Amino acid sequence: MLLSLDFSSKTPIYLQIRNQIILGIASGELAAGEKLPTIRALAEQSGVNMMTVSKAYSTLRQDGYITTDRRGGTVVTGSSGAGGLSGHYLGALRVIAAEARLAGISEEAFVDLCRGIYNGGVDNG
Amino acid sequence: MGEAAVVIFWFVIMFPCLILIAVLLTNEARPKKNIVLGVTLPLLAQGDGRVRDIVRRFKRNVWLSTGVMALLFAALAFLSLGEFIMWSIALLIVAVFVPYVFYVRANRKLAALKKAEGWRVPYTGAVVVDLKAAAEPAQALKRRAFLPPVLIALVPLAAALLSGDGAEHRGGLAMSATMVFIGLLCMFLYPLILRQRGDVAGPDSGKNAALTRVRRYNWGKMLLATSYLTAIFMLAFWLLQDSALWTLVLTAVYMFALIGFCLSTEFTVRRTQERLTAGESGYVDEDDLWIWGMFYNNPNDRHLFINDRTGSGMGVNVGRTSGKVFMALTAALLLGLMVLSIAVSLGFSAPVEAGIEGGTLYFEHGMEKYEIPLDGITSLELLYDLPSARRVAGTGLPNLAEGRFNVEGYENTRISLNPNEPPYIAVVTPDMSRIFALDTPEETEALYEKILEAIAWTPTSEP
Repeated sequence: MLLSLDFSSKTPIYLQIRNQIILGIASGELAAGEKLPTIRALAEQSGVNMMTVSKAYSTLRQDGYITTDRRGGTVVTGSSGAGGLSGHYLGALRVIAAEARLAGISEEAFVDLCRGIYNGGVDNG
Repeated sequence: MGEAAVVIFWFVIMFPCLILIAVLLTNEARPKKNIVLGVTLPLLAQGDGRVRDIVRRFKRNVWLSTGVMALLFAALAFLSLGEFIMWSIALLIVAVFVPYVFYVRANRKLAALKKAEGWRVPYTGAVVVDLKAAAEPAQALKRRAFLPPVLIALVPLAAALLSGDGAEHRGGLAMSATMVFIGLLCMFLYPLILRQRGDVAGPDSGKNAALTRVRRYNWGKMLLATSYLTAIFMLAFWLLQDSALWTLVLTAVYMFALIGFCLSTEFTVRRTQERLTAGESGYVDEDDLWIWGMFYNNPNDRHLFINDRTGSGMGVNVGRTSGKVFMALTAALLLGLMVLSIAVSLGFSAPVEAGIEGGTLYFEHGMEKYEIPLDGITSLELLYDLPSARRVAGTGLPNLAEGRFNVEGYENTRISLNPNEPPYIAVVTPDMSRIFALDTPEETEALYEKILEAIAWTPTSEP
């Protein structure tokens, strides 16, 4: 899986790493049990600070997408294990839905778009 | 060794250098990781007639400039030896830069065409990392593999220091120390490659990991070979240092072996990149981060040293302040070397200024400039045979020996003369000895007579 970091983007780098890893897991590019690079290796490969990678990994760990142990390194778990939409997702969805309504997108078109993305349109291209 | 031999030696070194620069640069026109002359192009664009035309003209210009440089270089053979060597160094530096002017021009044209045609690839303007390839542990050489050559290069240095004749072999010691430094440099440069970004040419992680492995392996091989070749050269040079011919032959063999090995690893990496990415559409485009396709400029990247996009080389990230300083120092060094070469060349060809003025003997040529009070002279000789002399520091050309030398029968000696044109004036004072000659034997003899008259005593020896 390719991780693409846009330094000119307004999205912080740690969030770009986190989001792309989640997208990779959802699209199947990163399988459950697959090993991720160490914090040091990813920092060296991308040229970003170790703290940035560490922050991305701890967010992913907190959300249950990855686990880290001393012997096995950092491994993809495959799902967040949250079991349902948390307040974080609902808040984000509310903002996106409001933006769609303000942009004049119909409810039907918005739901179709969400369905399309959910069913496989989750690539990062 | 005659002047002709030295000129031939320089030609043997310089002509292949010119050709190598052209070969290396024109090879950049062959797509590797979909990069042509520093511009990332989708597969379809690589076959475009206009792209081919730019590439064709670039190659023609590089070979044409190489031919012109070779002719200019050959014309230098008509100069005196000292001038020839210095001007050829200056010309070589110019010859390295000129083909890059054509490279930059071709790069700009290709980039403009790409923009006009809207040729884009999936990952544009971003730093791309292959997560699977990055997770692969690096197969690294142990640092101790670099230790034996460092120890070997230390032998001459240790031997001279232990025997207590370090001061007499200052030039050789400096060389030995340099070689030890090169060995240590290789040892400490090696881990740099392991900390670099891996190659990403497309979505195939296996291929990306293979490209990274090939680059790392060849980088390690090149550094290891450099340190071992350097150590062997140092040891052989130390054993054969009394023979001018053998030291010259050794230096040539060392340089050819080193350049040959570095080129072989460079082309191995280039060929692999070409083969593994042939027929694959452009995937990762970092052109915006590379000035003229040559200088990496990313202030957000904390790396100072960065892998070249193609081949096995490394460059500097000019987006960082330290990178800018590094590049400025390198440019100043090259420019300084060129200016120094020309200045020294002019100094070599300048006439000798020597005479007596106000009870003082003065002498000036090149870097040699001194005044000797006539009443301080303890011995004056006109030599028709130069005693055995070994250079400590300075110039040791067949037609010019100038600088600090160990001369049999004299202490603390500086000389400035043409070894093929006796006689020479040897002046000894309580704290130093000077052996010199003027531009012609007649002038030298005339000055000798003048000094004799001025000090009005019988010289220690006559021819």
